[in-house]
Amino acid sequence: MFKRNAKGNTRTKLVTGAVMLVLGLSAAGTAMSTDTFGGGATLPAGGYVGFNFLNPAVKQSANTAFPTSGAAAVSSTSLFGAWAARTGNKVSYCQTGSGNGKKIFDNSDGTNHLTAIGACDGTTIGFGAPSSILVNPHFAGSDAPMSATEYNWFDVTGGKKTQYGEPVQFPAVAGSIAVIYRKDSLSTPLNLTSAQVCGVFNGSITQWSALTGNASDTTTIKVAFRSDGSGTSFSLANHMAAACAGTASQHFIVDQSFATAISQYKPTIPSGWVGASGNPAVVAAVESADGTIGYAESANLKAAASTVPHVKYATVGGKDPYADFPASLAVLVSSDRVLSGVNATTGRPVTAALTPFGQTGCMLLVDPAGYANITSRYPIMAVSYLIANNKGNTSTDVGAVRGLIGSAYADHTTDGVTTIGANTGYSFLSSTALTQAKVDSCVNI
Amino acid sequence: MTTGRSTIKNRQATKRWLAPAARCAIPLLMAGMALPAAAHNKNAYVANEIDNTVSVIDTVTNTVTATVPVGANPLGIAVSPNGFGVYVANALDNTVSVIDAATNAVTAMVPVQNTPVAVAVSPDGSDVYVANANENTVSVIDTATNAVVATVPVGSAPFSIAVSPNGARVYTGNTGDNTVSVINARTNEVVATVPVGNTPSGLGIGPLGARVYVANAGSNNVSVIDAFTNKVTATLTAGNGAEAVATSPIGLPVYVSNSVDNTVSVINPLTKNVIATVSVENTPQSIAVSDSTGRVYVANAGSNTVSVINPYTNKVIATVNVGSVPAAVATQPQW
Repeated sequence: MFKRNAKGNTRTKLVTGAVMLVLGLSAAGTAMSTDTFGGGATLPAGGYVGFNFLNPAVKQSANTAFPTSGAAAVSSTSLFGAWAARTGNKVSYCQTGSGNGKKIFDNSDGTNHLTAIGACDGTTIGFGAPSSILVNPHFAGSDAPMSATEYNWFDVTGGKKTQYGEPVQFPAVAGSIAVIYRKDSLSTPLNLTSAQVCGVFNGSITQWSALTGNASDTTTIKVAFRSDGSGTSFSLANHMAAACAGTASQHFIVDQSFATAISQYKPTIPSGWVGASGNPAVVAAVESADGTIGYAESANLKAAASTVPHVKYATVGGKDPYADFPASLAVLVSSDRVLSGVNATTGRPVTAALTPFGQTGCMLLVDPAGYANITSRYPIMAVSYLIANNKGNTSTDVGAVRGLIGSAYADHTTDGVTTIGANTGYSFLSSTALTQAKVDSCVNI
Repeated sequence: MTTGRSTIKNRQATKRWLAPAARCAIPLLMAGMALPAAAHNKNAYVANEIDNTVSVIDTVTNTVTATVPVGANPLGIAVSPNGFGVYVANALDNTVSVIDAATNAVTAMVPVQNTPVAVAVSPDGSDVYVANANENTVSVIDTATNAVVATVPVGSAPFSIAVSPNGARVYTGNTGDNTVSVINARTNEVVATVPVGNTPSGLGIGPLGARVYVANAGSNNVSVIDAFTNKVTATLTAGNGAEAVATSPIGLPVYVSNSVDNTVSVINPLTKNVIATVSVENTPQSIAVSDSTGRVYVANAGSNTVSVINPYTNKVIATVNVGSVPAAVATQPQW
């Protein structure tokens, strides 16, 4: 009797089998379809999710169950879209800008408690994630690597250390930064030297004649710049500080603030220059006034070109931000280092060792000096990072988070990604340290 | 008298006998090799990425005896076959530092192209080959003049380089397109492009040059290229983040540093079996084997140390503190 009960009769076996099958399928389904929520940097957004967010202009792109409306579709040929199609997982990416994205990821701006659960409106309100998310949030994107201060917010004011360990950071893609202009009288494309780029943005070149060679064109150059802190300004300054050395007391300062970047040349922004918040606003400022020069993320500019017909882009040193920006480029990656400031006499970035309060070897940094002025290709570029939690990714979500972060390191000859690569303005990154295995070791339950 | 026939049973017995025999034979063969005493010291050299130095390790005492300032962000290092010159690829200032091994003085800084990350010397010592990761090229330096005499386009993002023992071929591991470029060293032209695993990060060549080993960090394995056909003939399973590979002086075993696992896989390339897995310190990125002793030197970038492995026991016998983020290691060829 005991023996029979232990084994069960045929009907019991069938019922048990059916239940186990259902449970098994359910578990497998859960594992195979995780909704991941993140956000941050605008520069790589087109590469990550495609450019459906441009028209109508929305901040959130998603193929997740939530939100049910209002988000742009994720392109199936984007990096995240291809990953989602390959794995069955889903993704939502909210464009808040790098700084806000890192604050939401940290659950802190240094003072206030923040969360990913909140509307995606480009601020620190949230990433548009539902209250049911198990990981808050799954990831963030940033065009500037985490500073030591941002790293510590995760623990000290964000209170995430116990549950989530530490932030882990991986360089994912690069994007070229275009020098854009509107000059209706110019019939040939503008080709600038790096010295001319520096001269325009430090205010020493003020007339178009210095750029076009047409001595009679004494029209004043109007400069449009990012008024918000941005990785785009950082990357422009990174190039200018390397290409135009200046002096010990007067040089560019590599900073996310454009005003800080040129402060040794122009302690106050010249009158007539136009500050605009966000990439589209700078492009719009250039479009709206003939004789204006600015800078913008190349890939986004290309996608929005039809809406700004007067805006052109310059080649720099004869190099085109699309044609001369390779499908893959090499980067120099260091572990557990952060940007600690700038060299006082050159203005160029300085890195320093980070003592992780979590797992060692998982905060990867690309030294900006390594890509500041490579003149054999288009020389002005940014590196964008993906950030995740070291632990607390839950058994149901961890596989998806690992795959999402590592999607940039997959074999892109087979996965159908078209938003990143040749002629897009985006490049994949290549280094011996950038592997899925490395991601897997740093993103845990 | 025995016959050549074998049953399953005695084949298994033979296997059981062969494995330990091979393990014994390898070190004996290594010890039996006649190595000319050409060079003049017994050093290993370690390129320290962050503090822009080269640590000189006396391999007899396993102590650092000198620290040599070099260029910015040294990522690659090689010693000339005669042991007189040490070449360092400085990734951030696009130069190669030339160190006189007798004096530990930098005697030249050779400009190359953008982001030189790896360097190798031809067997006759006449040429130095430098992989420029952001130019997708190899610079060829004439060691007599310390001038670049040729620039060879290769695959995307070459992060590793090696020269065949006869000097006829130069190989680059291209992480950007997952290939190995094969250069004819006489014409300085690429004669083959071999698809390998994901993120080919390290190259090693056996003493006969018949096999080229490619450590694929992204696919955690080693591609074995037949040097005569330029085709991958085998794949060896390694650990996570297989980043560098080197062979013993007799060609086997093969050592693979696994930067994610913090281990070194010791692999018999004939059987494809992992003979041993040796725990080292954090983020082992580079590996070199002494031609004279067979000892294995592993640069642990994450812990600023070099692990020294005894090839007879596959145990770490010393851990040497070096500079900040040791990215590459090379040994004096023979002494």
